[in-house]
Amino acid sequence: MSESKTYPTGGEFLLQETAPADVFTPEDFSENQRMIAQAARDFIEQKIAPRTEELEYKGNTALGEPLLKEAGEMGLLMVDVPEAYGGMGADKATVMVVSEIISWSGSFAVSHGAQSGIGTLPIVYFGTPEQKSKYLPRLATGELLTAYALTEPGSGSDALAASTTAVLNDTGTHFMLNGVKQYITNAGYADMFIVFAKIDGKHFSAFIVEKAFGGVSIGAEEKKMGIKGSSTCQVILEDCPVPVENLLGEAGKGHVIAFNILNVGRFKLGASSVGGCKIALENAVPYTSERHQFGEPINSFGLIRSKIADVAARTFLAESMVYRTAGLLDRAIGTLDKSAPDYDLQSILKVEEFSIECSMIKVYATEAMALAGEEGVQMLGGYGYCSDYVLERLYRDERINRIFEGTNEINRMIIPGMIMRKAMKGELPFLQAAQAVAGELLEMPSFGDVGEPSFLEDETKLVVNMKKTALAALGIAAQKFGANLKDHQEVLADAADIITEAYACESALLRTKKKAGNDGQEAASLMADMLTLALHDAMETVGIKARQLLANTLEGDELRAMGAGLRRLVKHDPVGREKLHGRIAEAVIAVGKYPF
Amino acid sequence: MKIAVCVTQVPDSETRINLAAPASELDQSGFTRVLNPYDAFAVEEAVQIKERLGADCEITAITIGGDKVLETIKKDCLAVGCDKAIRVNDDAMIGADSMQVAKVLAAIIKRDGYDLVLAGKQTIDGDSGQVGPMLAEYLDCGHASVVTKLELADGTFTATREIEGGAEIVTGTLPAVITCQKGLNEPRLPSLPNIMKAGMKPQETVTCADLGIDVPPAHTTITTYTPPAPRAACRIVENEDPAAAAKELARLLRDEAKVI
Repeated sequence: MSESKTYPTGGEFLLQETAPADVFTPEDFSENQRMIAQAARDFIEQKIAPRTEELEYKGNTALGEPLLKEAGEMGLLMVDVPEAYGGMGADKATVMVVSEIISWSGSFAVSHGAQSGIGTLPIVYFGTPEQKSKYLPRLATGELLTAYALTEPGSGSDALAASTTAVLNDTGTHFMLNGVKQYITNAGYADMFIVFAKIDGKHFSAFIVEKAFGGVSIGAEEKKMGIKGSSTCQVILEDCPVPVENLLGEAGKGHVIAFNILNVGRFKLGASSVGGCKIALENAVPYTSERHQFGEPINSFGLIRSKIADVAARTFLAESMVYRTAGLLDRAIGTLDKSAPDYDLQSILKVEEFSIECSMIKVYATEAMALAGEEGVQMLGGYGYCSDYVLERLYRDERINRIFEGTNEINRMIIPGMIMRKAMKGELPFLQAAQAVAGELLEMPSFGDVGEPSFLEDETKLVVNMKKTALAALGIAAQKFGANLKDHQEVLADAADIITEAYACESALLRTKKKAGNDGQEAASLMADMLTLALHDAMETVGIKARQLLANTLEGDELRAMGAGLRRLVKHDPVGREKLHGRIAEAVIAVGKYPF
Repeated sequence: MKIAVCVTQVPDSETRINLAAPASELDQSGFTRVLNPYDAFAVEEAVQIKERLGADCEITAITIGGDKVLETIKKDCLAVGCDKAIRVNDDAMIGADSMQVAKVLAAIIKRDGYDLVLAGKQTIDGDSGQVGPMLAEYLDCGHASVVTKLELADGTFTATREIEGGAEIVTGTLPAVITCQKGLNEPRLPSLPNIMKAGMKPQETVTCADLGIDVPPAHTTITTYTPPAPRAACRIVENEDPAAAAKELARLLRDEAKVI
């Protein structure tokens, strides 16, 4: 990582041009990252795959316990834990690689994420040295299994409305916890829980609760639509005595922990959804080669080829934005002094700066996987509807991704919300940039030089325009609604979608340019095709969302004037999708899986 | 005790094989390379012997190949317990046959001196199964191939060999070459922290000239690869009468497909 003390902050991509050399891409994986990915693959193949029937179809959730222990022995639970506490202290790119590969394990990926991510990280980032020494080495090896208990029957997205209480006892030694936590992953066998409760019913705080403290009982396993091999139960706390030293972080600052941990959960979920897209492709595409109808393999037909190409292209964009974000996080964290006593806390605060990106990849990648599951089932036809085929399970399992770690609706509110917050705090000169673009919109259009187009020149212009559209749209809405913007959820969601498409397209554009710069344009031609295909689709979406946003925001002459300006921005000459689909599908079919 | 484990990298068994032009070569561009699965049994056996003997045992992984082999050496040898690695990186060995491979491996083993040489019983790409026995000949020592159980005691070995329909137990003196078969052990997976540390273990790269040997000319040359014949389209025997259809099917299987 670079030693420089400056780095792009979250949301800055919208306001600045990024050089291809400055983005991290899967082509930049180190030898260690590739070896770790392969080792994780080997683990799944040898330890998880033989148990698929039991886990996924018989719903033997108790299997999660021994499998987590085995994962612990292999070091798969310690990637995020600092070296000082028996972990690997790996960078975020490595963390994301592991999250992506673990997705091949199906339900176990959820158990793994709850243990190594949301169940362990609160202590990594917010624990005292004593709490860290006491718990982290045993969490890193899987000796202790853990769970994250935030949601309650009455509070999900509105986590701060929790009704679980913590009351200090008379002697001041213990908090007595009472309440019910719901949908707690790994609850069936966890030895400890990160529990959020309100001290005296008021101050939202986090606690490390060992099951052995007493007063903890576990409800029945939920009967879920998917991820059937993962344990999900209620955790019931009845006068559970928690020693005061097990208060995690400051009293009344539980929201800082909850939101930051969800942030990490989001980028990891983004990475694992990219894995999900690849699983869909590698299960669907070979089938389309083998399945003959009307005397031909069905992937010789245009409507199957278009599905293969659309899913592959969307996967490419999701993957590009996930690893670009990993690079951004590592670069920001790389500016910190690793020997500082509060390094871990400071590093999560760096992640927080990128909550916009974390939410964008959560939304984009989970929805890319939804498309992959949807089209994957369709490619298999009737077989896709049968549980003998992976796609049927993936289609069900995928559904939860758009619900947990913050619903995609909540994440859509976060994306523009955080941009505005950073703008108000002076961390992001958003309003100035938005005003400049709005000014441009009202000017007469300029006709640039017409010359020989360079590599991806059109695509580059479209991405620039997409970013300008994002700035203008959110800027106009912010100006119009001011502090009330938060009450216009539809406007916010439209803005979020425009911003997210811009980030996805730009990430893929920069990755393709970097590839072409390193290995030549020929080597980047498949990436370029995928980019072109997805970019034009994205521009259609952006055009629709921008129009909706304006119509919900302005009226009369103002609407007409801005609308005309925006139409110029989102204008793009249509591309021959059939040809692009054909070329991309050809490349995917040749390898029978995602080609990068 | 000094143990040498001879390992090689092979295409993953799920790799799609495409022929290059000329057809005497394979298009390796899409290859995923992994440790030869039988070599994994050899590595694991060496590590288990070391675990029994303690510190007084050193394992060296020996391989021939270009830079692509390095990840396999680190992840599947050094990260699971081999102490060091020696790699022969020499253009003269590209496409080498069994005899050439055996001669080069023998040169390293003679140079450094080992008490026990372990290898896979065969590679899953070349599939010759010859390198182990040839190596024993070059080293002028005993060997046991296709071994499913190995015991060592006081300079001797007792090996259980898998033979057609049964097992054969052979004994011999060390040094010896043992080639390993599935069933010998259960290879462990490398742990993530050990993968990170593997790069710090000593690795030596040599050429044939460094070893003071001339690579002999190949005894065999691959002239052509041919893919299996494409599967013919399915034929459906159509007859209203099931008995007549079955009869026709039996006739086709006997006279045309010649499978019964």
